[in-house]
Amino acid sequence: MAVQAALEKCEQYEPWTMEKMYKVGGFLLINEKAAKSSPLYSDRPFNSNEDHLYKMERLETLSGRQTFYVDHELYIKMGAATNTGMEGIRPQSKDYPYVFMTPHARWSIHSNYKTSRTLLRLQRGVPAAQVNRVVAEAKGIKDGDTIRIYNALGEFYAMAKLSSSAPADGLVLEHGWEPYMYLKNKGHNEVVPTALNLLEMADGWGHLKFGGLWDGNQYAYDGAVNYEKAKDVQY
Amino acid sequence: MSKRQLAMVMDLNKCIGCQTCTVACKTQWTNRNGREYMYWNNVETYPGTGYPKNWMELGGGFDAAGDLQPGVIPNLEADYGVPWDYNYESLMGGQADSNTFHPHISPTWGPNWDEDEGAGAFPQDNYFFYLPRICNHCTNPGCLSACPRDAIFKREEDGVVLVDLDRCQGYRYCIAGCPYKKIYFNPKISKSEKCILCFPRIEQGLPPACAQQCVGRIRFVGFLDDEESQVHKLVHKYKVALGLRSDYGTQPNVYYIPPTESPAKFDAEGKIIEGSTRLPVGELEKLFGPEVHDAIKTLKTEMKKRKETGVSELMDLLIAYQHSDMFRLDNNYYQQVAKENKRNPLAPVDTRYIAGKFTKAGGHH
Amino acid sequence: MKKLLTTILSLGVAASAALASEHAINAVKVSEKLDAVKADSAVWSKAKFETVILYPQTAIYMNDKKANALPENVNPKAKKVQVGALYDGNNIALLVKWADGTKDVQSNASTTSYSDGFAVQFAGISKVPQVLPYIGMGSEGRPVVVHLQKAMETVYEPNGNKDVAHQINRQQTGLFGKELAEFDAKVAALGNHDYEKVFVGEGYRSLTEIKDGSVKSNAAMTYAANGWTGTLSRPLKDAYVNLNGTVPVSIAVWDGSKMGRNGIKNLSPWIAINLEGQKPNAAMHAELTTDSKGDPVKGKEAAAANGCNGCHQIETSDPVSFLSPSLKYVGGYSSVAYLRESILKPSAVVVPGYNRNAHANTPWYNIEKGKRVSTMTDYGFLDKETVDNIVAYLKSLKAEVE
Repeated sequence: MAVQAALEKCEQYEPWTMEKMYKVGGFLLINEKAAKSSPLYSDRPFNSNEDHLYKMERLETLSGRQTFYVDHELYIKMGAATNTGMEGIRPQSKDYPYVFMTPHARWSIHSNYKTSRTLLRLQRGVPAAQVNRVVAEAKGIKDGDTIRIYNALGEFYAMAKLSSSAPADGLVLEHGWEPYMYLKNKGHNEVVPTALNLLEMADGWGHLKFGGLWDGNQYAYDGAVNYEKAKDVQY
Repeated sequence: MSKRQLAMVMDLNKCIGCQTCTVACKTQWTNRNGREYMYWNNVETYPGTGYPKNWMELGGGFDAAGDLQPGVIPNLEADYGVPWDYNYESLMGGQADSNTFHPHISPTWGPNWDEDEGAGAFPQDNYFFYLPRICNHCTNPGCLSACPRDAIFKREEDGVVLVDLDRCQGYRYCIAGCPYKKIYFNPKISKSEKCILCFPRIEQGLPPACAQQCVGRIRFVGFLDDEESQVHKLVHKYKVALGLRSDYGTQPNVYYIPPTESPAKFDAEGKIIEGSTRLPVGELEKLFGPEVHDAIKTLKTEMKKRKETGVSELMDLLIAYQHSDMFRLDNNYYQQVAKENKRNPLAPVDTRYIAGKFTKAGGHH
Repeated sequence: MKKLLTTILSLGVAASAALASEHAINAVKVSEKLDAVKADSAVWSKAKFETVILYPQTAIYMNDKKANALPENVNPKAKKVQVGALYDGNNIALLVKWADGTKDVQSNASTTSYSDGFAVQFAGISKVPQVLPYIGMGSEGRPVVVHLQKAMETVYEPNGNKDVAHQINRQQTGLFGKELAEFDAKVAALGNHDYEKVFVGEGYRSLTEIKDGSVKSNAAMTYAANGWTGTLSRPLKDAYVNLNGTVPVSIAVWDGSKMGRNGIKNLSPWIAINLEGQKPNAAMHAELTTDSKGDPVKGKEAAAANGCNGCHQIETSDPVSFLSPSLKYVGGYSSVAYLRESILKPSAVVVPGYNRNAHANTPWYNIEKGKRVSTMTDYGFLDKETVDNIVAYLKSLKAEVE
């Protein structure tokens, strides 16, 4: 319904229809009207921010520039007046000792392109989480096994990738998977508290009043989880 | 040996494993008619099992005496991975299993199965790098040697190795004979198929799809005998581009700049071990032969020179400021070949990369 | 060594006992039209069936590690098949029956599945018809025509019809709805056919598919009761063959469970099909059916004295040689005339290619004035009796019958 509506309302999606998208494997190509911050050329790559660099258009921030300093009193109180690295707010618990990380996916912009058959065939075809090889082996998990990732909030399932690149105290799952792409329709957000970042509340709400690209901010790394080999289900 | 040889150089320091090359090739050539499982171009994580699984251990190539070695033909399910499909239809139609989106089989193997897994222990010394692979268009191809039907040939004009589909009868000895397992069996037509180095593009002045689409600009394409070509300079002048597993004896014509820049290791306290490098040089020697030491030395020297003096032809080459700095194609040459063979000379579709030694300046109208 | 020799000789005797039927089949003339004959056609009740032995053809060492390791291929066996032939005024028809415990149909979704199959080889038109083409797909100036039928799931090959448009991915056609459905139907119609092919060849490696429709072929395979029945009918006369009187044919079968294909097959020697009621070609008949008159025991001694196994693998204990074809089972599929010719004129039939590429340091021929000249010594100096003895010995080198 939502896609149907978008196809009907957005001129950027012309001339695509639901049927055509379905035939090509679940995606569409946006047309030249679809770009922001730079024109979208049909014959060369998109480079962002041409509007700002060459046409001197202002950014949609309070200052019109890139903002690295906010002197609102809440920001100052939180120690976040300027970009500052902090500990995650996840609970320090022996029951859930692994930090759950969902970095940007290699090919998808959030869930966009996530259902592309061509791209899915280039990974595991199902949601897959990199787990530390040594830790996973100690848990009796082999590469390709389905694992249950859980905490007090909930659970979901992913395929285990035993990796040398994953930290021993963490679990890395590319973001962008929709809940319906997981076993039992349970997405990775089942285990994420998604606490609202207090900075959102500065001056009322809306990251200093709902600018053009406002997107409700949460805390990074607030998910603490545990994982085990799944018992009855398998991808 | 062919009269001339087209070659590709891939700079592994710049490969980010994005698979754009893979998709460029796939959508151009292999997404249909029994080729779905084939990846004429793939990018694998090294160390890893690669694609097809453990290809380095499947035989083929030649021994020191020049005798073709027996090899194994990989299995679709176990070694390549069945290209799974999805229930788009039932999702759209609101049918019974529409509550989840899932592949039609349980995926057990695929072309990029061990992506980013690597070796070592996090965070002390874990490492991996990406290894993009296409057909090596070898000077002494294992596939060609193994074919009992003369169905594989190396083009005289540019050394591209091709399968004559009219002659091929699907015996698959070529697959056993190729040590890189870069020739594939198409079960729908019962014939072998492989990377064609995008010769229809090259003849008309376009680089191979994998090379043109590469966002890291890691791929250089040109003729080895053209002294002004990037590939000639990298392979013969600076000797920093080396064949992959040259010990297989097929004389590959895809060359690699070995990954020289890897981070230092950490000690138990998480401190940097000065002067250390995560990437074991022994692994590089296994892949690229003993020449890798000199290549690394040259690369480091030139990098230092560039930092200190701002001048290094090699570094400029490797930076590849423009696409036209990476490809040196020769449409005029192909037109000449076509005329000699009474074929129809093809007009270029793109003139930006036509700069080869048989192309007169401004002569490509 | 003596024991092994006795075994070989007794095998030779056993084979020659069956010679009369093994080397000649009588084709019955029928009034029914044979151009569309099938395995279950009633007309086959008129055919006279004979046993033909198909021997493993293992002249060169192929490079498939798994296939080479199969016990059935390490010690390959000869295979008995039943062959019957018929002809009408215009066509010849053959029916071949052979036992095969497994029905192997090559899957179009596997890279490692192999098919059962059969082929019939006819000698093509040549200036010297009584000198037969080399059994392994003919030789220069002595062409063969090969009809091949494989058990395969449908084959998709639009390019075989020079149709490039339908090799395009349906997603990239720009077609939609009804037009796309029509495209799909066209692809299916073009690309789902039976694996039946006809080739012309003048030597191993030279085999070329005849795709212009200039040869009619009606081949089929049916599996029942642990065995295959293969049928073929084709015109007696076309641009490639002119069959009359005494027709030399050779039959091959492949077993998919042994990973059978080129290099892993069972092949009969040239056998004579006498078209009943037509005047036999006496010279051809003699060439096809005459056995060597020599003494194989003396022949073995002569072979050793002349150092044959210096280059050829003859006994299993001899090393695999890349310099020359293996003679281990050469007696099964080779004719006396061919063996004699190869000893006296080694360059008469030289298989091109293989070694130049795969074993470059052991070439089995050099090219002189554009001709392949064998690196084998010319044994023209041997006296006739010694040659006869060596030929008799080579004829005795056969694989055991299954």
